[in-house]
Amino acid sequence: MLDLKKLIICPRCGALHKKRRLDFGEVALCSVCEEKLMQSCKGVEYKVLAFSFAGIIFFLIANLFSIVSIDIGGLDASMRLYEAIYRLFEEGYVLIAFFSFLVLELYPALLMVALMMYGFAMILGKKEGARSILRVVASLEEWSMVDIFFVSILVAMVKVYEYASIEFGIAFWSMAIFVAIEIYLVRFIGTQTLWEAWQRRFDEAG
Amino acid sequence: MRLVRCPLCGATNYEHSRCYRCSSWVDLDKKGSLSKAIAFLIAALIFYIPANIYPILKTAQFADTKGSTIIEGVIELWHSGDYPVALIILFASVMIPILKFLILIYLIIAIAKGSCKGVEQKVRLYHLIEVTGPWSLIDVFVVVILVALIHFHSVAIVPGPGATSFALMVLLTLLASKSLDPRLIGEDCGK
Ligand SMILES: [Zn+2]
Repeated sequence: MLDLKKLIICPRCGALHKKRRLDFGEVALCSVCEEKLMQSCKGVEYKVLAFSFAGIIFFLIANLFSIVSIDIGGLDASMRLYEAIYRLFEEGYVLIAFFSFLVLELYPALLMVALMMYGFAMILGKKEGARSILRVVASLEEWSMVDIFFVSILVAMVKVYEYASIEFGIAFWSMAIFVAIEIYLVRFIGTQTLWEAWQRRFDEAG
Repeated sequence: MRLVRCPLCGATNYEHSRCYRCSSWVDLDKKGSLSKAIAFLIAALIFYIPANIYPILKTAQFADTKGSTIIEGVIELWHSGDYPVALIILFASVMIPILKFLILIYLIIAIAKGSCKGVEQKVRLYHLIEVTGPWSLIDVFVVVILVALIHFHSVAIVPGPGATSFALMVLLTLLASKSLDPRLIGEDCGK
C-alpha cells in the first residue's frame, strides 16, 4: 500500500506527485503543468487567527456605518448595507433581498468566525473540532460575495456621479480592507493549505 | 486501484472510499453530476429570456416612469461616456452569461461522450467560468444600491421585474457549474 498522506494529485492535469516538506514561504508547483500544488503551512494557524479577527472587526464597521452618501441638488441620502438589503425586501423583491443577505451578511460573517475558530482549534490541539470547522469553511468560501458588492458600489456611483455629489463613508473603506483580508485568507492561503497544516499538526506529530 | 483527488479537501485517496482526511466520498458520480448540471442549466436558460426583456430597474421622476433593461443600461453608460464601466457591465452581464451557457453545454456534451481531446483546455474553460461566473451579479447589486440610495419624492429608483429573473439566472448557472465535477473532464483517458 502507498502512503496516501505523502502523495498529491495536481488539480489541473491529474499528475501524481510526492510531497516534501516545504520551507517557510516555499511554493510547490506541478512538474507537468506548473499549477500551484501546495505551499508552506508553517505557523499558518496564527496568521489565520490574526487576520480573521481583523476581518470580523472590519466587517462590523462595514455594517454599522454608512457606506456612501449622496447629494442630489439638496436632497441627500446615505446607505448602510443592511438598510439596502431591507429596502429591497420592502419593495417586494424578497428573493434578491434574501440572496443578498446570505452572500453579503451571513456567509461572510460565518466564514470569518469559522476561520477564527480554526485558528483556536489548531492552537489548542482540538483535532476533531478543527476538522469539522474546515469542512464548513470549504463550503462557505465560494458563497461570500462582498468583493463583487464592493465593485458594484463603484459601478453604481459611476451611474449617478453626473448629477450627484458622492461621499464615501467609513464603512466603504472598511469593506475594502475586509475584501483584502478575505482574498488573502481564501485565495492566498486557501483551505488546501489549512488542511495540510491540520494533517501536519495532528497526523505526523502522532 | 486508482487514486483520486478528494473534491472537498484535495487529499489523495483510493477510489470507492471515504476521504481519510475530511471523510467525504471521493468517487466520481458521472450520472448524478451531469443530470444536476443539465437541470440547473435548463432552468437558467428559461430565466435568461425574462432577465433580458424586462427592465431590471425603473426610474420614477415625478409622474414619469422609465424602465431600463440590462442592454439599455450598458447603452446608457456608453452614451454618457463612461466607456470602461460600460465595457465592464457589457462583459459581466451580457458576455459572461452567454459564454457560461456555451461552455457548460460544450463541457456537458464532451463529458457525456467521454471525449479525450483537448482535456487541458477544457479544464481551463471550466475554471474560467468558475472564476468569472459570480461577477455577473454586479448588475443585481447595483440595483440593490441604487434602490436604497435614490428614493426621494421627486425621483426614485425601484427594481424592475427583470432583476429577479436575472439574479435567478445567474444563481442557477452558478449551481450548474458547481454540480459539474471538473474531474469528469477527460476521465478514463489513460491517466
Ligand atoms: Zn477530503
